[in-house]
Amino acid sequence: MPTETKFLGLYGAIWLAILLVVASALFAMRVVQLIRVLTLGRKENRLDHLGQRLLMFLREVMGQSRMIKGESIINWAHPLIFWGFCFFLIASGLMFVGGILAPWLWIPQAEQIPIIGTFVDLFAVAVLIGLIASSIRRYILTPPGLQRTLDATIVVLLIAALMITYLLAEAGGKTREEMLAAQGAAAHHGWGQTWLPAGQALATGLHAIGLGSQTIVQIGVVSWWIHASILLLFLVYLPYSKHMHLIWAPFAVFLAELPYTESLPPAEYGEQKAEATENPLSRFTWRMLMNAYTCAECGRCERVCPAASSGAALSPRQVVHDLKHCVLADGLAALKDRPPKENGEKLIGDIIKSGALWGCATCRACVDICPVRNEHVSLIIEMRRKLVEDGVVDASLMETLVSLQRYGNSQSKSARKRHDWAKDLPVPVKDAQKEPVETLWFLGDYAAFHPSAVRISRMVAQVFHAAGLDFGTLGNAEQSAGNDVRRVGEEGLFEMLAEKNVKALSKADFQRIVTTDPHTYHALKHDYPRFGLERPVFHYTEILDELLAAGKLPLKHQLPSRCTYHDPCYLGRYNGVYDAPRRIIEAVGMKLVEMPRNRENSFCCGAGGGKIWMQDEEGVSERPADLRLKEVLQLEGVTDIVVACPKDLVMFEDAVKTIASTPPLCVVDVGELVFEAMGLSSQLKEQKA
Amino acid sequence: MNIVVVVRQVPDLIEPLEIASSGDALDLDAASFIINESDDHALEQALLLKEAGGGGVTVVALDFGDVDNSLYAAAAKGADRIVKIAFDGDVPPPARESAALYAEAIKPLGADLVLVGVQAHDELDGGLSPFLAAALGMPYVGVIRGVKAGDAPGSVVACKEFPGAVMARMNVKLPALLGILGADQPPRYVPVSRIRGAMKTAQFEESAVAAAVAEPLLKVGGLSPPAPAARAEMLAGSEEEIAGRIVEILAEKGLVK
Repeated sequence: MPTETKFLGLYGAIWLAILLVVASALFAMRVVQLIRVLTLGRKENRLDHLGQRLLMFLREVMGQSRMIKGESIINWAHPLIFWGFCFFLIASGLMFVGGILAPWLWIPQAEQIPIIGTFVDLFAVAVLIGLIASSIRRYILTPPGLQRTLDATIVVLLIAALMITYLLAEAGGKTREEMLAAQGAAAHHGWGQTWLPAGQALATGLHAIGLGSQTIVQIGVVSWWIHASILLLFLVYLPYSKHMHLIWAPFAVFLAELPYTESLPPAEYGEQKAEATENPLSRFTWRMLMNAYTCAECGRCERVCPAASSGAALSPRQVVHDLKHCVLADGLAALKDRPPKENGEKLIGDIIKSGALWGCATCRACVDICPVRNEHVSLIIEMRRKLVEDGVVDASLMETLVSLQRYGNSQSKSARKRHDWAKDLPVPVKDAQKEPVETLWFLGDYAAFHPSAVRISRMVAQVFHAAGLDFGTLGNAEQSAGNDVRRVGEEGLFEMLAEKNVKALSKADFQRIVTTDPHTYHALKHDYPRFGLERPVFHYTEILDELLAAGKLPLKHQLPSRCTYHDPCYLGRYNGVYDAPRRIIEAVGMKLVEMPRNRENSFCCGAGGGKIWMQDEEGVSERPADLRLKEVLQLEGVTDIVVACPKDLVMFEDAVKTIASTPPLCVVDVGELVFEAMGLSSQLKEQKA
Repeated sequence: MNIVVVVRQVPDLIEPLEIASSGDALDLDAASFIINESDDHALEQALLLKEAGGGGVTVVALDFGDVDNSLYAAAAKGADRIVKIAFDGDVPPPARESAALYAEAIKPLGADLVLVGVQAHDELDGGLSPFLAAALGMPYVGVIRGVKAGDAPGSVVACKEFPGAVMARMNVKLPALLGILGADQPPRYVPVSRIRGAMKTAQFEESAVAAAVAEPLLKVGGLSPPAPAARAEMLAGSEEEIAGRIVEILAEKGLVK
């Protein structure tokens, strides 16, 4: 081992040990400091469902499943680097232990252990290929949102230097073995038994360019020391650089919000907040602050963001990047009892502009594509809460919030008219507060008030009736479920609505809840249990699918068109309901053609998170709904876009007028399809006649 | 600057108005009440003046309808004192008599500036603001769209709107009463959490003066819903027939030849 030689009277092993202790101490000090900064955040339990978390960790960290997902083949560069890095962790561990003990005790090195040695050797090459590929992507074919920072360049160069010096050290070792063998000496500790194709090829190459064996051995020794030094330098540099995600990302994935749950923490205000105002970072939970450490600035979030795609000021990556600066500056200052440097209060509205925060439709595309499971949406909503507290609210949104405060709906309509949607319906709709029903239909504002959505609600009522479903509503006692109120950041108003709705629900006798609105569905299913709602909640496509499977949905006609289906964010990405609506579409005989962005990769219509209540911000060139319909127009022979959300219906009916395709696309609801296929429209015409 | 703002409750026009069986008043059970829009602007203007130059804002209101909601919201927005005036009767009296009630409550407050919405959609006998100015013995300027602190101490600069959108900037020596049409910025949004906080902490003061309502000079003889002058003509038939009829109507009106 190179450490068996003495420098300045001491074994190289001693010097290596000193360097290792110093580097480890510097690393540990920084990491402890960063952990202490996280403790400035609010508490949040992320240690539930440990088995599920472990599986997520194995799949996404060890298996790199998110890295491979989507985009292109070039995404394989990261898994190659990561897996190489893992093998190198074993190799490096053996290197330091073996190097430090070498004068006294022999410890096998990775390159001396069959199979492992070969793997490390090949992975060194794989990592180099991965680096070349990722560098081409970063510096030549740069996708939007990917940054060319000095930090990234330094890390690429350091990793490349690590791999090259490792291979050179291998080449030196191989050459030394050959020299020993030529002298008739026995191979030392089995050295030479491992197949090291890259190291051997490099040694052969160095011989070919005229270097002597002794020179190659010396190059190997120097490379070994350079390799060890770079490793220690990397260890110290890592927690200061953007590549600190190497340390934090595995924890971030393990501690991430679980799929199809609601992890948006309640806001803290009033008495709760009194203690929290001392440090601006205390507004955020520790997991929100952790986003700042884990972001690798890959820019995927920005590329899938409907707001960014439509020209709005929002970049989810920039939001996290700005948070990072604030967390590091203010957090570290707070640890030293110094006043905030960046001032976390300025972060919201000044550093991150309010326009950017209001641009988010909370569609979660960024969260779902993020390889390290950063939680941009919760972060943005927490910042919106501050804007709402400060009254920095768009005029149109303010009007809607006032309407919700006064009338319990977003449509500025009298609460006494909520049940008017059912006026003159040919089928009865029970009042669940007056008589027991099996299924309580919670309509939501759009389904109860918006003319387009009311048309669908009336059809769905007739479908439910025809299928023999025992259903009723809360009538005028229902108020907005408040899903988007919560996502706008008006937590107090959401709580008020939830309390009123739960009180109204407590006066009704029912077994389960159904809703046509995915936003309402999400709020009732995930946000309402903490207010006391205990009944199961279903989307109407799930109920229709259930009736279909039970043979209770008599379909008389087959509908001939070719259609595509738009996955609503709050039904699909938020709750994993992808198949029920598709089964219904197929059952009614329509030919379903998928859009390129479907299921978990669906592209938001731009209505969520209260966006439907806001004015378009400056810079928006094409609204997300317009972009989505253009995607539909690329599909051959597709005449209809099928939706399962009243807000999608409203957004796309509007967008159809904007894009003015010929012939115009038809926006149809799943309920409407079933209504037609059951022959209820002709039945209605006959009744009228 | 000690600013007093008058806040009134008016029927919410989003609900259908119903006439009481007596035939001379609204059915209060069928109506709901909200803060008068221009009073909301007056409150906003008062808060802006306070934020810019200090002082205090006192909100004065008749104890009627859902006034507590409006007063908690005012406290949540930043009003320092809330004074409620109890009065005899089911509904507030007309502006002239209401002015007397407000004046009795406001006089002891030592106001430098009184801000009142210049209009309310339930006013029968004219605006409250000039009546109140007279009752308080204060100079009055109405139809104001924005107020700033004046250069001279004890004065403000009020932006008055004349017909035809002609604007005048007027130096007003205090004390004075201004009839507010609009504040320098739209009324701010106050989050429900803050209103709920105010519900726990805000204290309402009852007006110290035992207010007796004078007999109104104006009496309502009767109310009736507006009778439709003409019904809309609903066009029926095929698209061509409907389009043809539209062209005919436009031609009849002389809009197309």
